[in-house]
Amino acid sequence: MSTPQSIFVNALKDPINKEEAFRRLVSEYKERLYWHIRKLVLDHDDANDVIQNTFIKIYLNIDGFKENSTLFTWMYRIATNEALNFINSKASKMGLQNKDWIEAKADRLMADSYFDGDEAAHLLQKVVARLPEKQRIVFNMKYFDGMTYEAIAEIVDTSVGALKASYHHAVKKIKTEMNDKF
Amino acid sequence: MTNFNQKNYFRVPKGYFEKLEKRLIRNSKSSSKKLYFNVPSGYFDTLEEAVVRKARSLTPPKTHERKANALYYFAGIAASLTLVFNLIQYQQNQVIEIEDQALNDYIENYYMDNLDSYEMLSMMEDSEIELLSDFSNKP
Repeated sequence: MSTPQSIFVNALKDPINKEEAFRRLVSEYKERLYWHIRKLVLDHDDANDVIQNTFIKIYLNIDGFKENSTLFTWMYRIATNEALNFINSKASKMGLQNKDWIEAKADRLMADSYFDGDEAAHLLQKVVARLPEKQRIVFNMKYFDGMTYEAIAEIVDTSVGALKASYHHAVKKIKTEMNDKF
Repeated sequence: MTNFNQKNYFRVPKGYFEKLEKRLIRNSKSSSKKLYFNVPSGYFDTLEEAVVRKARSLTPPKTHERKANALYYFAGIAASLTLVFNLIQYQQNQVIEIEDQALNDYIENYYMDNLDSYEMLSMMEDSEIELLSDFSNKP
């Protein structure tokens, strides 16, 4: 039986309906994917580059989408990979480790005109930036987006148990560092 | 059952609940408030247009457009070949003409320098000699 998702995916694969369906897809998911990316790259201009590349990848690769996962999970995975590749490319151009590059971005957040946070919010971002990459992704998805472990597991291709451990470690580190500063 | 409307003396701004619904849906889609991150005003509207435009530019042309394009390519190639062929031929003709002229000049100069008038007349047709004599007799 055709589900609403498979009908929509078929429209995305159909050359006649592709553009219209793609427009609907962008309209529906642009904000959720943008905020996911923004939390990973921190800067608006960088997030703008990554979200555009993400949608173009989705557009070009939709024919290869086999519906083994939900469309949203598949797109989230592409967005995550695009953001990580972006960080990797920027960091290596500057001769930095990914973690150092993102920490430098977090340090400069107060000077960013698109960041309204107070000192506590800035500190939280700086502490999150110091987490190992995987813990940072899991923390963002769980804490800020309120996603279930099952959904995160599908996106980052890890077991639910490993994710729970990652999140637990991340929260513990953040609490310790925040308590030290305040 | 209590008639709620009869006892409710409170009012809300016009269109409040429609806007509230939209606002709640918007907030549930993003966690920007929790994060204190912002975007430029109207960003998401322009993003949609930019992405669709970019995607459209990547779409390969439809079959009949491809056929038409192929036709243009072949016509272009044929026209170029014809042009090149004509150019080569024109240049060859020009070389032959230039060579003919040079040869004629050379022979003429040779005759003028090395042959006397008798020898020259012996190589001419009778009619040409008559024509020459007509001109030479004129005052």
